[in-house]
Amino acid sequence: MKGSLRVRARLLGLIAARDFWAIVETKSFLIGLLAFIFIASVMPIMMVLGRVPSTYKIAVLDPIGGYTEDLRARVRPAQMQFTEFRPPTNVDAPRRTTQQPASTGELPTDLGDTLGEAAKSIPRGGVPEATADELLARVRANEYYALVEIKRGPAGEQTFTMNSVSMADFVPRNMLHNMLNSIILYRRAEAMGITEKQVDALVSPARIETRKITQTSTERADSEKDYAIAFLFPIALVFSLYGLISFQSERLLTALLEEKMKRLIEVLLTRVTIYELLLGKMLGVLYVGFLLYAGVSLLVILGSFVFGVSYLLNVKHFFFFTLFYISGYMLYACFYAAIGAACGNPKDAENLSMPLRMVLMMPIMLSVYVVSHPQTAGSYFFAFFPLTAPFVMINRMIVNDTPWWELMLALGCVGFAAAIGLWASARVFAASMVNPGRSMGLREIWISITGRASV
Amino acid sequence: MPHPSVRTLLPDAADAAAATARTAVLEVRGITKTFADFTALRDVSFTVGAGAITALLGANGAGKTTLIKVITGLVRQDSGDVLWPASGGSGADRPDSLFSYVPEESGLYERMRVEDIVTYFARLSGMETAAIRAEMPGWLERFKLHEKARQRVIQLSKGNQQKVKLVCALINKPPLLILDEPFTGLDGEGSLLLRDALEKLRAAGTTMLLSSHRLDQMDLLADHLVVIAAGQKILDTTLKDARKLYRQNQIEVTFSEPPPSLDGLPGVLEITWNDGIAELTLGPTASPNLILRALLDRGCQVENFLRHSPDLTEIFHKAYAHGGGGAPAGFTGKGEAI
Repeated sequence: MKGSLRVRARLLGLIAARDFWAIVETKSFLIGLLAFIFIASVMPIMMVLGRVPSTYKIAVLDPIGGYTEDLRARVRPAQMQFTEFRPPTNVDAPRRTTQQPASTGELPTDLGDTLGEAAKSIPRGGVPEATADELLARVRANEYYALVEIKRGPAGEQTFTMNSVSMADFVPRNMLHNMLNSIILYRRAEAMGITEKQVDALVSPARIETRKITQTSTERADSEKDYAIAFLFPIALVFSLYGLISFQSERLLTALLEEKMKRLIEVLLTRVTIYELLLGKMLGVLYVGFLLYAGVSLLVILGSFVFGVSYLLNVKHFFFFTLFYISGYMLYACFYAAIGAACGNPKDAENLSMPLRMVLMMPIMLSVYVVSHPQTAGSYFFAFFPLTAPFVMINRMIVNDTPWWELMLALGCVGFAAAIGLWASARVFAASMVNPGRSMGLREIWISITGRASV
Repeated sequence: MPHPSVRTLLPDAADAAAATARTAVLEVRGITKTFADFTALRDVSFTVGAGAITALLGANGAGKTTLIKVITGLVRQDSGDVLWPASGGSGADRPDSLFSYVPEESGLYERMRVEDIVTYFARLSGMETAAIRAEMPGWLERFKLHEKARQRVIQLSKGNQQKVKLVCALINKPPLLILDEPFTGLDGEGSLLLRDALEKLRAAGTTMLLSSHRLDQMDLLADHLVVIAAGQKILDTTLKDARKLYRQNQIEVTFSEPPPSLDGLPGVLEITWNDGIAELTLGPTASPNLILRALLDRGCQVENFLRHSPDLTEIFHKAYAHGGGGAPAGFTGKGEAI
């Protein structure tokens, strides 16, 4: 079967186009695409509806006094505004008389009873009175985001209750928790005669700075928050890559198996070469993948803006992610194509593809290790081992600013392996033509690849 | 169609086709193919003449499908050549569009529309879009599929799907159409429609190589026979010559009135009666003319006087017996596979 390069390219394009439309025209694919569009449309909605209040207004019901000022001192007014209330005198009076042993100025003997209020002489004039029920009603009316009630526990310890309409958000709850802990700590220290400066000296963390050393410069590394995101981001990308490659490779396997079972493959192979057929089908499924890839990219971009991590988007990362996606897909597609060629029914294909699925999952399991230790010998090995390179290199690229030559070399390794895979799967295909309805054994597959079969 | 037994006495399309089969479209020379310890084909050679239907016959496992796969380039032979004299190509180096192949029990892309799938295969065969648009309506109409052009393949009956496959195979007008077991899975009406379509194609000059178990259908279609047994060719001749080769020296005579004694007819060795038909076994020097004259002279009312001609089932069984293959497996006396 001869023909000009243009003619052969046209045949390849024909096969690719048919396989592309065969998938894209199905209802299941359209529903999948709609799901992408739905998720993408939810992102901007989340940007509007999911916006947190600019300033949390908190009511503090403080029978003792002093806490509100301490809270205000620990947070910017733009973040939280505290309004102090005190219980009506008749409600609070019995407590005050029975629960102020430290007001004599003696130091407490039990730290659990250390309230610190004895150390403070707080004027309470001008502080409005309100009952807890009244304040809760105002929280329900959205006048306040939350009500913080300060009470005394059975052992005399201070307890704090945060009331909000829904479960309090993690951020303000956590902030309040930390601030109140800090206030208690300083009050206890004061009661024990320890100065604020001494407390600061005790609790201040050691200053540890991280520097990123490159061949040419030394630069300050990202903050702890950036590190956390930088840890999760490559793992999320590897998950996306796994999803894309496994989805497409399985599609290819299904398409090939269908053609083989219907013996359409024999008709096709009398008109095109095995390489044209395989490449055409791989390209057709790849085009479908590009649609999904566009959807995933859209979600990543939107999501990065929604979650405020758009600074992670990087042209170099995008470029290499695309190349590793294409090469990784081509490599795995060859293996799946060989399985499609070797099997005569879907059950055998599922069994034979199981080890390959495990191999495809391996990079996900490696991700945490590689992101944590991108420079070890193990990470290097898996970064250039063709079956794991597309995934591991993406991990390394993001956390470690991998040099261009390493990325190109890894791409070369994957590309070379994909070329060998294509050749091997074509050999299996040729051998399977003898008896298309029967599944080949592992030995037969090996013989067909190594060339000892007379096909 | 006349009964096959009287075919040799009547001029028909097959004779005309055989007469036009001058040029070889395909030459198979000394093909041998071995799988591990099993020799599937052993030095098989034959020629497919232009404009005729060549039937490739054999029992299950005889090597028909392997031979077709070697011809189509799907399986590589160990030795021998597949030549395409009209184009000068051979083996896998053949030019495109020399033949179209429809495998046994093959399917189609079920979700594609008829016109789309025909366009797809036509374009794979190298046809331009304009040519496809010009040719497709005619082919669809010829196979009575023009009203189903927008239907999806899955909506068609099995017979119509078979016809779509034929349109896909024929639209680029290949010099040779190769069909492997085209009648498999078709009911009586489907078989009739397909046979009718193939006869029309032959009348239009299409050369065909058909492999089939359906000897009854092949008896009505084939011009040329190639019979293989255990990977070896055991018969390669025209159907007409095969009938001559394997015919028994018998004459069947039907009388409108009970005849007088038939004893002493010239050259007749034995007379047996079968459902009112007298079967006369002739001696080596017997002349049908003299026998007929003797019957008429005796005042017999002859309604039918027929030289026995073997049908394809008989030829096939005898070819197997003579070829050393023994009784062919998988065939009934009715000429259908079991």
